[in-house]
Amino acid sequence: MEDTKEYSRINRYAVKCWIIGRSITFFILLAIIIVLLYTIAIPNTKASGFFRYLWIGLAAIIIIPLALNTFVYPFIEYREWKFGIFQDKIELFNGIFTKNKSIIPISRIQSINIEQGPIYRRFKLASVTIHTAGGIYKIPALTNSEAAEISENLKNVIEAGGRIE
Amino acid sequence: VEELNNIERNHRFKIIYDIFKGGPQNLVTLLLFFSIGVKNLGFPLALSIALVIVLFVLGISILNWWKTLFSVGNRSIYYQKGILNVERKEILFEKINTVDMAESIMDRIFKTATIKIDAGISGTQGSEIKLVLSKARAKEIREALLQRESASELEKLEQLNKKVIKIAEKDLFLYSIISNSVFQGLGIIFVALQFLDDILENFMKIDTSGIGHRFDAASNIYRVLIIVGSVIFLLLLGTLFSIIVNFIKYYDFKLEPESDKLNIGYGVVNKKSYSFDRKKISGIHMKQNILMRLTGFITLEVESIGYGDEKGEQAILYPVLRVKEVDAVLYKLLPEFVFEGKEKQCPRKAFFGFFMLKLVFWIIVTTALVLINIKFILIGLILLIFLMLTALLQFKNTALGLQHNVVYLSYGIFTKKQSLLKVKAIQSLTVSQNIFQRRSNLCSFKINIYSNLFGKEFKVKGLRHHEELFMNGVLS
Repeated sequence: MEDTKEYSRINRYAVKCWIIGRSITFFILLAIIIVLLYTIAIPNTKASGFFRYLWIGLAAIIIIPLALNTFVYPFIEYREWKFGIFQDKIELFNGIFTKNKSIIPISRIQSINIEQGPIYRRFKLASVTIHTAGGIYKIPALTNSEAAEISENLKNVIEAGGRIE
Repeated sequence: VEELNNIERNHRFKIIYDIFKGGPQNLVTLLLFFSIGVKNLGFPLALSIALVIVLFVLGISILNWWKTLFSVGNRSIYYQKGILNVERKEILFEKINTVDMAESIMDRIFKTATIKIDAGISGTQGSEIKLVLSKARAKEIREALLQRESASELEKLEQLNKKVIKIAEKDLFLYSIISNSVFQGLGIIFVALQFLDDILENFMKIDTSGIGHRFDAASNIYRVLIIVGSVIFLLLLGTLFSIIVNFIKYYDFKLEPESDKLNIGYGVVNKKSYSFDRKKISGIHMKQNILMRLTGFITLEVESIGYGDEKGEQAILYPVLRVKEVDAVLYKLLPEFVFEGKEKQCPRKAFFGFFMLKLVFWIIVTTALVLINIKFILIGLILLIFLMLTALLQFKNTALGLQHNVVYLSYGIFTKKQSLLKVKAIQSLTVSQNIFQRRSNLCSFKINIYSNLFGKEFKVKGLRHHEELFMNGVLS
């Protein structure tokens, strides 16, 4: 039954956008950690090797996941991201280690917004946010025209479906 | 705005309440600044400044009172407040979810009542309209807002079903013992003890350190006796405290079902009463701590938009109830929430999932402990047993059930929580699978509902993946 459904993918520039966006945070944090490590942590510990390695180890525990999140995960996230808009519901698929599938019945949607940050703008991308009375969902990295089309489509579907109180 | 003819204001005492709202701290601050002022500026100048401040505060309070208006029309209530920024609201009666009437001690002295009106606007902080009125007028307005049938019809209805539900004092007594508030009582006593120590030493000039010396000098058996004795004494004191607090809080608990409303009232010192529109109740939560499970009692709470968002407000439907009576009570009060379907518990293979993360945590902590001192391995073992117990409880408590209009969820560790959610209130569903769950074909469900708390979610883990199809069917 699932196979007959058609799912769309997000734009492939998503990977670049995510890497650029996350790199900014990553390099700022990296700089802070390195400065802290070499000005406060290491000079204040005894010369013995163990504590030196302990500090470096701790820094690595913070830095490695951040680096993975910046340079590796975007590729996986892009591969996993899928969405489908149907007559009665929207389905979103995402997740790296934990795979999530979110189902939002059309009747629960309250508003649909299109958002665009500075990085997305450079790549002519936009994201669509879906608001319900209980939460917010986001479909990232769509081309401007796709985003406009989806939001227009959804409005039509919602109108056709009528509101359920 | 058609109904602006009969404008009303809050009760005059609202001015006094507003001034004293900050509690004694305000007075203390004022006195402190006053004494500093007297020292630096001299008495006359300080007094005149203080007078100006007092008059200013009084003036603002009076102006606030004067500028807060409301008007009850035939179909809606209009409300306006603010001196510079004027805020106007009009709430249609049919949009009102709960009307809460409370009488604090102040209210009871001045024969007033505080009435809070909530419409289902998600994300708003506190009540939409809050009025202080004379008790009689507050009651009138509540009746009007809740759109009751005319008085004669109401009487007829009342005679037809005089089914006011009350809680037996015996049950309330039991609840006071088994509810977690025993620990609350203990907490308060501990805090009080800290102060007591200071008071004894500083004000009464009693030296408490001598007790410590005498304790050190005593024999081992004597010491153990003292410790056990004090623990038992504190527990008894905590229990006693809890019994008194709960008794006062829920004394005279009444639940009165009407055609489409549920009226709840309780309290001796602070009287509280609120009404729910049955149709607007989106869920029921049933909670049980371990003691309650052992004794077979349960607490029922209500999920209703617009109620339970203020501090200390819990939309309690029934503070204490025997588990076997739950279905009968629900049949009587909210039949649409009676769950007749079959709940599905986690398969046995899911236990590992509940235990896995805890195991990782245990390995890290125990390794660290053993590195510090090998003797700590004993603590590690106790921790392992405790973690296994929590995982087992979590595993045992988790369940999911579906019916065409209601979803049943069961979750929690030490406090077992069961929720019955109206399908219509469910906003979205997320099904997730981590790597281990994928291998054993299990999954977690996250259900997001329309609630006071934006983004309120209920999560159950470790269920069979094919339940997703049922969930899907229910939602669409």
